[in-house]
Amino acid sequence: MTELIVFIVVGGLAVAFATLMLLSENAVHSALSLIVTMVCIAVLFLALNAPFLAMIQITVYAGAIMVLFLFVIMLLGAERLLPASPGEGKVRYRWFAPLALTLAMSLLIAAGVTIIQGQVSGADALGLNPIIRAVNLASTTQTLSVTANGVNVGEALASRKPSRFIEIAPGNYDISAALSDGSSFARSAALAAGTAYTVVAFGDGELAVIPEDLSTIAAERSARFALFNGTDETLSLVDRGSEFVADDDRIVIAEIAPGALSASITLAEGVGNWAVVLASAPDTVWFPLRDYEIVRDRSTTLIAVRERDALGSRRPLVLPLESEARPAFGSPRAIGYSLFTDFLLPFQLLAVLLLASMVGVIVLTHRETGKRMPTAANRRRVSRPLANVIAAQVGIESASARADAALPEPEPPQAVGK
Amino acid sequence: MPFELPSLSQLNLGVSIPAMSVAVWACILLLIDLWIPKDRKERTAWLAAGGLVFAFVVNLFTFNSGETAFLGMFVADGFTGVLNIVILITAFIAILMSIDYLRRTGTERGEYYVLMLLSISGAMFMAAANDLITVFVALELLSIPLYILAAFRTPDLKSEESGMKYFILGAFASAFLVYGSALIYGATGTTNLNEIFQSVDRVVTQGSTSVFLLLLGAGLVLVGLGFKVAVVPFHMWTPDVYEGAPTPVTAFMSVAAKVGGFGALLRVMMVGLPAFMLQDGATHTAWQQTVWLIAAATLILGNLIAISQTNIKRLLAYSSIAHAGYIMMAVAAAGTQGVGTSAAQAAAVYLLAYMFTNIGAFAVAQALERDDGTGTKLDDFVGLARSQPLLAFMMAVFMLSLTGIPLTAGFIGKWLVFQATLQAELVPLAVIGVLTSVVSAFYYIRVVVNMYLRDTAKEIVLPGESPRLNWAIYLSFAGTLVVGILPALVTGLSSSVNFTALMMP
Amino acid sequence: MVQTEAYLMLSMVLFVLGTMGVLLRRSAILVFMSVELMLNATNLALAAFARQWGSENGHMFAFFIITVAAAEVAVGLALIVAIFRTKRSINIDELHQLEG
Repeated sequence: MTELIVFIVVGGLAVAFATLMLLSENAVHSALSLIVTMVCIAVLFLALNAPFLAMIQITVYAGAIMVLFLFVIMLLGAERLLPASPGEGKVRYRWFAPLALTLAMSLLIAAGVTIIQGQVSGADALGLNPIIRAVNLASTTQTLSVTANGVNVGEALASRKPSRFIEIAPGNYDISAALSDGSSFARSAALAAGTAYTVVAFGDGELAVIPEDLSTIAAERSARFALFNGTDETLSLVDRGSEFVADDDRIVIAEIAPGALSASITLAEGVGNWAVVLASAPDTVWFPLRDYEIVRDRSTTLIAVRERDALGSRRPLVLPLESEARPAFGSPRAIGYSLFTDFLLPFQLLAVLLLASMVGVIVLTHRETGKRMPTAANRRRVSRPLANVIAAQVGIESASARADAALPEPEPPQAVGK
Repeated sequence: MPFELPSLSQLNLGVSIPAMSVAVWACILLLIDLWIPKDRKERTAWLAAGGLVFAFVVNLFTFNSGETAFLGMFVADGFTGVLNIVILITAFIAILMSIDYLRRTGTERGEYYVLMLLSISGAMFMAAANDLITVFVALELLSIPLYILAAFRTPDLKSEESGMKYFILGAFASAFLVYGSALIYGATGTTNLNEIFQSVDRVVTQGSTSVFLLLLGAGLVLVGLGFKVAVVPFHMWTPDVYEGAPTPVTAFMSVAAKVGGFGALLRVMMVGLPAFMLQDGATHTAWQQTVWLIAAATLILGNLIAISQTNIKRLLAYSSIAHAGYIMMAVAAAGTQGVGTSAAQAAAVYLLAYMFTNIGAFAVAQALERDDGTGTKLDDFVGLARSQPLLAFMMAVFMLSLTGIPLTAGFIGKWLVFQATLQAELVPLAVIGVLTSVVSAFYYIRVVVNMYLRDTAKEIVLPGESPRLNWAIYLSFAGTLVVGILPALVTGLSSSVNFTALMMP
Repeated sequence: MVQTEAYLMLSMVLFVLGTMGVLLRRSAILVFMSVELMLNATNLALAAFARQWGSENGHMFAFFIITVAAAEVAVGLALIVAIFRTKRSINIDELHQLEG
């Protein structure tokens, strides 16, 4: 309901001021009206869950761009405008106005039709493809290659180094992994749309496909954790608390059965003095995670396995697999991520484009000496003292304006090329 | 999606080197230019041309790799490759034309070449863009330097006016393009052309508002790109801008803006919206009818108004509108199922042929143009054959090629376009095309008649003639004849034209 | 929650107002401002669609439009200043050195 009221009030203001901009006979008034319209649109951006857009709408559009407009209007002293009358005077290359007006009308009708026809569909958007990666915890000395239905997920993976996520179509996959000594293992898994999976090879030819929850973390300054137990004993994650205080251990994730994945929990950022313990012996540290830093907006899956080292013996290992969780919709963070991943090319082009416009502004306004310059009288009129401009705005005649009026009329500009 | 910076191998930059290198070289050249003395700016020109040659060579290697770069934003298929060739040759000849022109009109500045490079990098990215956002940004990268170049003879009022008109209508057109793209995004939920293609079926089966948004969006995109390539009824800026802009810039923009615009138009219409059929079992896309009408109107109006022109630059402007109409015929043909690839090939060959011929004609006009911009009336060509037989002959060939007489490049282009149109069962459009070609002969032949059959007592001097301009003319002349006499060369080239992502052949 | 169509309607109205401004006003500065209004209308539609689809591509598009608009405005105003210095008028209708 609040959104509806905001929409009606702010939307109405936006339209009203846009109309005012069109009808105003003073360019400064037009510019100020446009600023109001832009601020209204910024408010609507906020209502639409687009805080970043609202921010740059105000700073870049209402701020930088409109200031530039006002500056040029005042610089040229061009604030007084002819009334908006299309039929008056020499109308050149504007014969297409009726055509475009028709176009405008049809757009308006289009808008009406949209309303009558109702709901814009959007509910069943294309599902995001699942993404998958692999990590080698089977051997410290050998490399691992993983394929899913023949698609290469990770190749020659060294121990504990996860591969990059790759996108893959949803569906059932036969996932097979092979160590560099030739031993191979396989299992099948169904990969659902919109989920991230990590293939973990561990133990003696075991293969787990762990789904990771990378959705937005709702709580502020928090991180998400889950524990996967790849051993054959029941494990818990405990917070050891201070080393100097006895009996302040607190169980964070309790009693995960062998081969199971815990539900994910959300923790506030900070530093935790953690350890993974056997559920049967909660006071003995199985694997320490001392001074473990909880970084906000990350989703971490702790993978507990017994890793085979070079000598063939098995040692406890807890590997934290960290990924960035999806940033909140429309947040600056989300926009920033997109800019550096999917939209890298347009971003680069944009940089080049801004360079081009900078060069252009210099080229267009730089005049070398010795070229044809406006006469002295013209120059004086072009750069009127700002005081006069302001005086003209507020309707007071200043002293220098009277002096200005006393000057002889500037000669009309020369016709070129006729 | 977890945030990971894409690795270099994921970005697959290799295939985008032709376009990338031009943009990067432009930035470097901007710095180098600071150390080039004011009266030695032709060095900047040669450095710029060197960058183009490098990009051309790399383009031959990455040609038709069929790979994508920048995570699917950039497609390097055969279509991109052929258009890159056209764009790079255009820029090379335009730079040859510019060096002496800038000097004699007193506007010699290093930034000119930098802007030209930036503009063609925009055109190349546009031809390869596989996403509506990239299309928009690349279009602006193509256009903004062109606005500046059109006004480059400042403080000459004609040139400034030309830049201003181009700018206003260009910005207006961009607004239509982005609104259209926004509506397509609203209907399909994506800006990637391949994904749009996948969503279109779903949207159509759902019916209702989304179809309407899609139709309106496609229409507005057509309007926006129609402005850029100057088709009726969005052509009115063309003659003014072409007349006022410095001649080498006119020559350049008459080709580069068209190549970029048609490249993007074909890709959006064929890769993004090909399956855009409102009923099951239809063999024509929903937008074909509209494009058909635009093409017909462009052909008729462009050719008829050109008849009454007395200035060669304005005549060539209307002729360029008419030629946009012929390429639009190919776009219309692409709307029939099964004709897409051959229509795209026809359009690419047409652009190649048009490029050589049109730039050549502008180069000849530039040789006659005086330093103050006069000397481009059709009457100034009277008696040219007697005093400058070689130049007159080449101009005659350019005019014949624009008409589409056999043994010239123009004929091959038209022949392929008409073939595609007939294949697409658009017989009335093909008939209009042939008839307007006959009409166009009136005004093209008039230039030839002025040069050969009318005579004047006074000796014609060529104020703009210079060895470098001559080379530009020779190059265009050679291109026109080679394409015309050895069509196998271009048809071989064009047979590689394909869209990697093309779903409907 | 206000429906997407309502935002779309608002954006279309603003877009049409911008179009009329481009066509009816004679001062180049006003024409530029009207183009900005059209782009703003587009951004509004994009943000509404982005919420509808739950994807940030619309926000990205709007971001690019805003930045490109800044570049465009800089060049446009430079052109205005250049023309004003030569001709002392920014009425587009008075730009008729070129035969219309």
